[in-house]
Amino acid sequence: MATKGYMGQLLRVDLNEKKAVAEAIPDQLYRAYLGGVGLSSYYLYKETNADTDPLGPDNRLIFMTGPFALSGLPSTGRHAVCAKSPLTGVWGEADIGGTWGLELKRTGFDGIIFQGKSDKPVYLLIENDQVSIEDGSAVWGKDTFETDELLREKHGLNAKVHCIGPSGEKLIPISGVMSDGRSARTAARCGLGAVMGSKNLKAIVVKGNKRPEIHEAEALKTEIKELAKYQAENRGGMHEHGTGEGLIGNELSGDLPIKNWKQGLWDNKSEKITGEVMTEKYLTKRYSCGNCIIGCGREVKIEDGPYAGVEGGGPEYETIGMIGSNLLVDDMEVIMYVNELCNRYGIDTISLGAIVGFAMECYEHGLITKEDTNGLALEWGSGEALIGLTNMIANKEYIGAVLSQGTKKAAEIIGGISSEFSIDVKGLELPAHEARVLNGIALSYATGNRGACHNADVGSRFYEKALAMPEIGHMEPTGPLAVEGKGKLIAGLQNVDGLYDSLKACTFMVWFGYDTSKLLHWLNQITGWDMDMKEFLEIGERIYNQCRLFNTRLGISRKDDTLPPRILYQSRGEGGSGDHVPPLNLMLAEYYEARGWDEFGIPTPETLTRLGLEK
Amino acid sequence: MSIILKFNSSLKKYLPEGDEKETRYELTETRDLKTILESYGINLIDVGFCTLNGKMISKLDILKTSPQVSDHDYVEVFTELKGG
Repeated sequence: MATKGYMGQLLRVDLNEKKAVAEAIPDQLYRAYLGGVGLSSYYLYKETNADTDPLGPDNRLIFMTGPFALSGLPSTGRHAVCAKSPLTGVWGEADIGGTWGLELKRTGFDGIIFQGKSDKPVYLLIENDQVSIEDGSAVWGKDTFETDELLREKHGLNAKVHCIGPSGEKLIPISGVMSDGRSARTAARCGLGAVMGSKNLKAIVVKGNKRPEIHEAEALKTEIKELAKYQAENRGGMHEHGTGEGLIGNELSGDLPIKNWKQGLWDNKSEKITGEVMTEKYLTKRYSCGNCIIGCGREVKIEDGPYAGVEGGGPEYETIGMIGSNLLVDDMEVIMYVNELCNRYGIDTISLGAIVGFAMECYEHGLITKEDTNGLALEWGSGEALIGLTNMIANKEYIGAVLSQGTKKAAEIIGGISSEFSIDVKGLELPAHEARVLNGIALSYATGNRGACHNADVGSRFYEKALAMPEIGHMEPTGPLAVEGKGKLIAGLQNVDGLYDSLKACTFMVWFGYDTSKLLHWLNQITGWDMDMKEFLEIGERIYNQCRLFNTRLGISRKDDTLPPRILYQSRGEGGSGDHVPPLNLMLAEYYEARGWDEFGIPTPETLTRLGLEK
Repeated sequence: MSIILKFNSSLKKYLPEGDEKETRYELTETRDLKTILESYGINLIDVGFCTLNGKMISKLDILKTSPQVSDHDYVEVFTELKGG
């Protein structure tokens, strides 16, 4: 019998052999890695090696839920997607909400591991115990909205579809894996949609009605009831205006990317593209991921004008920041249109915004000309340039063929000073939060296993400014520009983030009644374990180190734990971030010490032994 | 003696009835910004930062250093920064 809270097995799909086999997950693995990112890190490390080609048949593509899924706890309808990244060549991870993960678990599997490559386009269909690999030729070439509609038409409207769009099929390494059709939830980062495309796998359709056993079901139900009431009463701005609420605050405080991270202020133009504008003019309804009460997602519609017809998931904060202010585009309808283009193509909007910013700066300096763009002028603020370049990238046309490889590789090809304009860490473009105003996020970006990641530290900015986390010894906030103690804080928060990403709980919940002690309490309630906080935190640490081992095997070390020169050495000179640049090396030394890594950022043998890890 | 407070975004819900974006706060002996904000029923977890006459006051400062206001001050209150 499976450990309570789990289904006890994963589905292993060999696309070379067209075979799908159920495989038991040992209880001790659940207890050592929990689920989600944790279990994925174990399997990916074990089953690939330093020579694995991210787009080759030997790479694994893993979808994994966690023990909180189907527990009834709010905001736990998430799952992890992991593989070796074709964008960065290192650990690749994307975390996604929506409803697909819950449905996968209902089929009786905690996760799926894909290996091999199909000789023709296929999709996987799981209906409880019935698993089949189906001909995907009818949906190959279709965009993600069409694919979702066609497959649900065929397999029932209650089926849940995870799929790639045309960009994943073209192996573009900024492609994500999409779900929930027009509502468009995305496992966006690291190019994992291209891994799916490399396997000729178009979609995964799931339908099920099973449930895991919960150890203390009644007690948990009572707590959920109270929690749900609290969340419904306190969901505030996140519910009302979504993640794009109060963008003007992001601009004034120096958080918002402006002009490829060069400019500090934007004359309050962010007021034109804030979540409130979406609410007032375009919102049709609020979207909630499975089992979520907050409902921070947006459903929008443009009724008339040149972008009429846009209808579906609206842009999140990261999208608005990266394809809006980062490019000086202040037209909300253009942003919504490009957001939908990306959703249909299946493209990560963060990387796309960074790439277009990179291209605009190259154009400004004569490194890209109209000859490269079929006559398109890549002027800052131009919606036409943004739309045109998005299509070029998604179709690998003109300069789009180069840009589609991400800013780091594009800079290597374009040459000259273009590498100065690539704002990335380990090849992953920065998301829309400024590392020059927050030392915590600077350190977190620099050391992130997948590269510059805004979702790797439970939102360190909140713990720098307002929140405590006594479980990791963070008794009170010391401010975003504090240096002493930052290494220890970020290491601790990254470990806790690994717990959220493995249990599969949304990290936004730190505002809505969740804390580390409650996570542990609920885990014990669900599984029947008697885990203490020491063991719990050690799991988070194990997961982080497992991913680090994946990277050190590839040659990653201190030299890679850095920030782009623009962030490290050039201040914005105005606005909230002012003249500050992050003192990375000072923080890094303390961070490595807190982690039990040597001065090169390699986990020491003692650390690995303590965590039960092997090289 | 009074100050003007402007509440942005979803914080507008804390404005007294009849006020649309701004409200006037009559100063008594209370000059502490945190106490003034709390007097409107504002949940400080929803506040990201304030500006006092255009100068930024971080959330940490609001919570820890008790910034004081004076007659004719203009305070803008912003929501907690989102993301994700």
